[in-house]
Order: sequence, then structure tokens, then C-alpha cells
Amino acid sequence: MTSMHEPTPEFERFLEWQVTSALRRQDRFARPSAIESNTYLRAVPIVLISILLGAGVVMASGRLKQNQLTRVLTVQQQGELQLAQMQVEVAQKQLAETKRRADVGVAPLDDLSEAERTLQAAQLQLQRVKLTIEEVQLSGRPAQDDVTAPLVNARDFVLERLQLDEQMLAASADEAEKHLQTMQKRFDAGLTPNVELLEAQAAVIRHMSDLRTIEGKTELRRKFIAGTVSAADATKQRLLISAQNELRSAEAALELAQRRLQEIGKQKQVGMASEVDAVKAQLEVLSRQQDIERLRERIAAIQKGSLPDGRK
Amino acid sequence: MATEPAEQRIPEIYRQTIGPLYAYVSRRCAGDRPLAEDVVQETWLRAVDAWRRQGLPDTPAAWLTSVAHNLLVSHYRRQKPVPLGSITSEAVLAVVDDGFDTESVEIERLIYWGLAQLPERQSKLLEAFHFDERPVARIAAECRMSERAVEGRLRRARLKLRGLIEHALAR
Repeated sequence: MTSMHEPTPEFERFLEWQVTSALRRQDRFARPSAIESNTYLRAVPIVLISILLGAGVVMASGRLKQNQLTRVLTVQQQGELQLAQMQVEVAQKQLAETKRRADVGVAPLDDLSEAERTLQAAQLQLQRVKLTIEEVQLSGRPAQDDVTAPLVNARDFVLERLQLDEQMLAASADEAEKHLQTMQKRFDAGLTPNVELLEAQAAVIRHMSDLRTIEGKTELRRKFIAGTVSAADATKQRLLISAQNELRSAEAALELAQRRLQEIGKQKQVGMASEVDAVKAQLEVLSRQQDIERLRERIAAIQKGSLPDGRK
Repeated sequence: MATEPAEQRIPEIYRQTIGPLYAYVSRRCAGDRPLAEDVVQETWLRAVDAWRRQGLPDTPAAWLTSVAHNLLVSHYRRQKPVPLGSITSEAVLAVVDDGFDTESVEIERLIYWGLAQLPERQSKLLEAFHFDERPVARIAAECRMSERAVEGRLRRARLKLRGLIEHALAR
């Protein structure tokens, strides 16, 4: 149990996060006086109004500002909530309509499963917005998704949102896998070119990379909360995970671009593709190669402990 | 100012100083944890800003303590003396005379309020002796004064504090 003159672990971690993120923000944006968090920046107009109204400049006014800020944020989130609720309603109607059409054989089963996935995604998004509103109301500041963000009243909103994101991405990855299986069958039957199969494979890799990024962040979050990793290390590892997964996606995209270039070369020989098409395909390959180069440099910089933009 | 890049050392300094800084502030907040947290947070945000621009101070812990002290003084100066309820003014003055040792949160707050009204040199001297429990000999060495001079200054500071509190209670 924390003694009276010791900071609570929650406060200690929160302040460590604030200090680390203030440093990071200053590094990133090179703003000499950027120590104010978004919370403070958003509170500025409220503070000015308070002064004009004669609210007085007292230390206790911090709590007044906080209440006003919470209300402003909650109003913003209510707009997002209404939008998310409408999206769920639209998705529900769409699913009912698709089911009706599938029952009479007008809509294919693929349409039905797509409508089901759309509804699931809308429901998960709605849950995400609701979580954000709860966090704003409890903490009085904008919701934070960084893996080093503090707990709010002993509740881990970051982890809860990551779990929702994981569900959403897992559904997208399943969808991409199913599409790949379909494309494989069509390719085997000679109904689709190799490039389309590669596109489907690249999409699977991209989705799986996104999923791995979220899984990595979830694990990091657990470690940070358990106190087995510091805020600085957690930030470094998060950047590394994101960059490594981006690299995997970029490598798949490069392979796809190279195959496309080969296909266009063949088509050009038989007059089915123009010089412009060939140049475009070549540019695509070069662009992907640059992406990979940049990501490799970024990974090396993170591993060395430099900042992602290359500054020490 | 130290020459090492501040951003590399700040997280480490944070971990080394957060406990002592919090304890320093908390002992002057009369059990008001939100106040202690606000002061520590504000101190650290100011530190990040200042250290990034000007480099690390030679003794970061002293820098932090000094800023926290000033924030507390600003806070208490803006406060009115707290109502004492059932506690008598004699009881308060007895605590001032006997070295600030009290279980009463109301009396503690009144003492902090009084300390904030004193000139900085006097309040820091009283805090060093009564709250940080630094012996007269050590204070004398730090201030390059004789022990006798420190004792005299402590006595005068206590008298001034007593007068301020007495005056506030009489109003």
C-alpha cells in the first residue's frame, strides 16, 4: 500500500508518460515550448474565457477547466457516437435486405457474408466510440491510445481498444484469406491472371502485418502496465514493431509490382500495353524499393536508439 | 548547466527524483493528495520545458525542489487562512512554538499558509529545520553562517510566523 508521502504507482506512471511524451513531441515537432499536452492546448480558449468573465486566476481553477474540458470533449464524442449508431443501423438494414435477396436466390452468398462483416465492423466501431466517451468522462482529457498512456481509474482503456481493433483486423484478415482462396481456384482454372492472385496474396500479407502490429502493441501494453518495460523502451519497441510490419507489407507490394512489370512487358510485346503503362509499372517498382529502403533505415535508426526521423 | 543532452537524461532523472520530490511536496500539503500531485506534475512539466531549452541544471533535484517550493508558496499565498472549527488559537500557537509537530490537518494548513507569507529566506530556513529535519550545524555549513546565527534566525522567523498566524486568527 502506498504511504501518504509516496506517489501512487498510477500517478507516477502517468507523469512519466507525460514527461516522455512531452520530450517526444518536442523532438518530433521541434517546438521549443510544446510541453503543453493537447489537453492544455484545448483548454486555452476555456481559460481565456474564464479570465474575461472574471473567474480569477487561482490554482483551483485547474479543476474548473478540467470539468469544462470534459464537457467539450464529451460533446465532440457524442457526435461520433451518433454517427457510429447510424452506421450500425444502416449495416443492419443492409444485412436484412441481403438475407432477403439471398433467400430468393438473387444475391450470392458472398454478398451475405460481406454484409455480416460490415455489420460486425460497425458494431465494433460503436463499442470503440463508447469506450472513448467513458474514458473522457472518467479522465477529463482526450482519450489516449499510446501504449504508455496511464490507466484511468484503474481501467485500461488502451488495452480494451486494442482488443477491439484486433477483432476488427482479424475479421478483415479472414476476409482477405477467403478472397485469396477464391482467386487461387480461379487462377488454377485459368480464369484469372497471375497478377490478381499476387494482389490477393499481398492483401493477405498486409492484413496479417496489421494484425501482428496490434498483437505486438497489446503485448507491449500488458508489459508496460505490469511494470516490466519502461515508457521509453515501450515507445521504442512500438515503433520497431510498426516499422517491421510495414516492411513486410512493403516487400509483398514490391513483389507484386515486379510481377506486374513483367506482365506488362509481355503485354507490350504483343501490343496489348503501351510504353506509358510500362513506365508506370517501372515507377511503381522503384517507388516500392524506396519504401523498403526508407523502412530499413528507420528500423536501423530505432534499433540504434535514434529518433525515427533520423535525429539523435 | 550540464552539457549532456537533456532529453537523454530526463527520463532517468525523473525515475531518480520522483519519490523524494513527491515526499517533499506531500509533507507540505497537509494530506491534500490532489494538491501534491498537481504541484509535482506542474514542476515536472516546467522542468521538461526549461531543461530542453536551457540544458540540465547542475543539481536537478535542487532545481525541482525549488520550483515545487515556489509553486506551493504561490498556492498558499492565494489561499485564505483555513477556518479552524473546534481548534483554539492557543492550540495553533502552541504548535508553532513547539516545532510544527501536529496531527491536525487544519493547523498544518494554517502553518503552510503562514510560511507562504514569510520572506523566502525565512520560510526556507524554517522548512529546512522543521520539515526536512536538517540539524542546525548542517544548515549553518550550507549557509556559511555560525550555528548561533542560524539559531537566531530560526527564532526570529518563528516569531514572525507566530505573529502572522496570530493576526490572521484575530481577524
